[in-house]
Amino acid sequence: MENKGYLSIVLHAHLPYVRHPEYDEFIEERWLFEAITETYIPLIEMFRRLRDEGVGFRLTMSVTPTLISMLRDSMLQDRYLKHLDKSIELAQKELQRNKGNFEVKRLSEMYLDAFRRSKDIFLNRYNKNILDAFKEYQDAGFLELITCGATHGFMPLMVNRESVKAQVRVGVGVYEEAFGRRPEGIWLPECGYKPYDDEILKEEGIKYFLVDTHGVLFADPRPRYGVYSGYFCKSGVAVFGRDVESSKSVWSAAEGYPGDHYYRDFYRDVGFDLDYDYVKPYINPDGSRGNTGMKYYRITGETLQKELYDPDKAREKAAEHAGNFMFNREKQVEYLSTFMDRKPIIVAPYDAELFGHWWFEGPIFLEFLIKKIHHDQKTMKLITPMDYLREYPKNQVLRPSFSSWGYKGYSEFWLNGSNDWVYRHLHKAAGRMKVLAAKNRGVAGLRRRALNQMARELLLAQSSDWAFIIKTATHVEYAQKRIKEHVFRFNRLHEEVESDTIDETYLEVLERRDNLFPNIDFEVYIEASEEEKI
Amino acid sequence: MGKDLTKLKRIELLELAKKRKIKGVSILKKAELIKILSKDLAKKAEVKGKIEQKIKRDKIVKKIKPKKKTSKPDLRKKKTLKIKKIAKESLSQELIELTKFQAGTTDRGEEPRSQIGSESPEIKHHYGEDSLALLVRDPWWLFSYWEIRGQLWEDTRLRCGSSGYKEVLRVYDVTGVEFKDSKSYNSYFDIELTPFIECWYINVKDSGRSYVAEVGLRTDSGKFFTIIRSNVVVTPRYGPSELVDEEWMVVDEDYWKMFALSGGYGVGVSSEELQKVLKQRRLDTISSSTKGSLEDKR
Repeated sequence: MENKGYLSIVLHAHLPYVRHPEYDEFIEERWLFEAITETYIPLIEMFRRLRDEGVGFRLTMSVTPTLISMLRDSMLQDRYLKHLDKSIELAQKELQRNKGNFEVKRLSEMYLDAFRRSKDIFLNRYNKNILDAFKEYQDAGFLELITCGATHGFMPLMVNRESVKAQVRVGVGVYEEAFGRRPEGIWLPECGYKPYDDEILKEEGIKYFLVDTHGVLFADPRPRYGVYSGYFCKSGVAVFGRDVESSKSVWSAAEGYPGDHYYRDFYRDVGFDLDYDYVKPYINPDGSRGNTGMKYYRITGETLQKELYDPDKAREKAAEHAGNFMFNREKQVEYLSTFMDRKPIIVAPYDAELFGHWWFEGPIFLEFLIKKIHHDQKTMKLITPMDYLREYPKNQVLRPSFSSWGYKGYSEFWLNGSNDWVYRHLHKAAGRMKVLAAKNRGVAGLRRRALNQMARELLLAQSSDWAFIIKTATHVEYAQKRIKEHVFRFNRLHEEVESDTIDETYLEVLERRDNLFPNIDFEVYIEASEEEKI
Repeated sequence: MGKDLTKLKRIELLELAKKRKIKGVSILKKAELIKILSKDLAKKAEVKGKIEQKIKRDKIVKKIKPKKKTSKPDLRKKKTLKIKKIAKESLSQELIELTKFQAGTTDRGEEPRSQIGSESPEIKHHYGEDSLALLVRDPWWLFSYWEIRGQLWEDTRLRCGSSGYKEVLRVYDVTGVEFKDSKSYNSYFDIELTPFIECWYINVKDSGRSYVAEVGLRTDSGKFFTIIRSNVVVTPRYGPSELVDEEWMVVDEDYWKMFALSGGYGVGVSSEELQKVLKQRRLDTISSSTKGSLEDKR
């Protein structure tokens, strides 16, 4: 029997560029280390198991250019290894400490085992570059990797077109360097879309992007199939809308699976719980308590009296939730297919880091889900948006609505009393970049280097993460400092380029520090109409 | 203060340093922290006056800045009630995303030291030029920021000549018209500006419209002198399109069904409820901006 519809799971793997060679250790670099151990490697392990067991699957995953840049940076790779060695050391100590208590000891063992496997995969299998793992599974036909804006800049709040173009073009270039082919899809940062941005995507060779539900539902003209089909923008780039129901069952704090009382608690970490001197070597470099990744308790409920984590029970729950998720999607597909004259596609996008980092059992859930879809039913199949377009090359043409997947669906999270001050600086820098780019086309040497560095600083300042972090009030000072630093560096270079007094020593310092996108070309900021004159 | 610093724990010292806005301390040992802090505390008396002044100034600005003025508060309330059905009211996604960035207990509260000696991360608020920008926050809110040099203010005051005038932000609805020399527009409203304020959230009545803004002087006799004009923005229309695609034969019934299934009314609305919500939804739509248009199509 033929399937009646499709499920497209899209994982968005992203972290802002955090790399501080000027320190031996840096708290914010742990965002990356935690994500590697808890999310990226568990996903890679899952891909491998599925492949070895002959379970076919199709998943879509964005790996953002900043994340790519960090994953292939040798300094960060070495720092991650060091971090991992410390984790292993702590886990070994924990094993000793808990040897009298079987229930806890087996959790220490679980972590020790996971850390060791991480090391084996990271070091022995992929020679410190796990991007090769993603490439491997893409080339083998399991994954569809898509790109993202260069530094995850929130495009609806960019006022000049060249800023959007630079985000996209640099993103495409970085993807190509990492994965050896051009990307077909893009994850617009925060799913932020404003009308006509698709034209820029078209110019850069992108074939599809994703928006939140209302991006499609409120499109002009009325969409024929709700969010359950792909559509074309006038530019010819396709768009897919997020399914609310499948999204909510995972994202929602109240109704979502990750809140189950048997799942592991994210906050109770031995880094906070154990004797200070004992954990000190494994927590934050400045001596403040922080996560170690070893967590022994389950969510339990709305109580501070947490109960011990039981991995077997949690695993059962993950299987149960995977079954429930699949059942609901099947029902959805069946129902939709009764009055659609094509097979519906359910698009379910999530932050990749949700799986494993926040929701410890997330990767097992995914694995169960994929296996169940493969073995237990015939109603739907996993698919990627590109596969769907190949099956349905003719689609309704519409203009998606301005939208984002953030709080209230528009720009508010990135534009409010806490962070609105950044835009006057970002816009000013973008304007200056455009003017200088046009004036300096074809320059060489120091001047070219300075202009390329200006492009890097501008891009770094644009990361939506800084505004996000400021709004959520964690690491606020760090985020503020990052924006100010990049704007400051940009403005100083601007002055030096304008007055032809480029300080090479200063430039070198910046090139070493903000070293991402080695192949960037500032001429991306030249206006499109000007570009054609070349 | 008279506190014995040596009795405090390192963490507490860090906390104190953070309160005293001393930067670059997180990597310091306890002894070094004590040294820096005692120096700072001694200095405190001297600079106290200055700091207090600064804080006072900051407070005044903060007090006024985040106030979001609305020209028609009653209308806005109604709209908000309506969107509740569809918009994400919950922050749970953001709260989960946030955990990506939770490495430490609390805010790091400290900035990494810059090793480029001369570099200061403080950036100037002004660029010494005149500009006014308009951004779309959502279907009902715009954000504008501006920088206007004293000279331009002065020139405009001279131009207007009148002694009685107000500084205003004028917001024009220019949907479907080409905006030229402040004369072609559908409607406008003014927001009176408070001195020293250089950004504002603007509440607009209808979604899916085009706007442009000007800062200028409005004389008591009603004349308006433009100081500076913004870019034009288009707000997203909140709600389904009125356009029906004939090629794809999107008939009304199918459309609303797919709309509902896609989560257009919120998740978990059962098919029974659906009819009710659907009806209500249509009434809602009629009673607001798109008068009668849905009724006609039935």
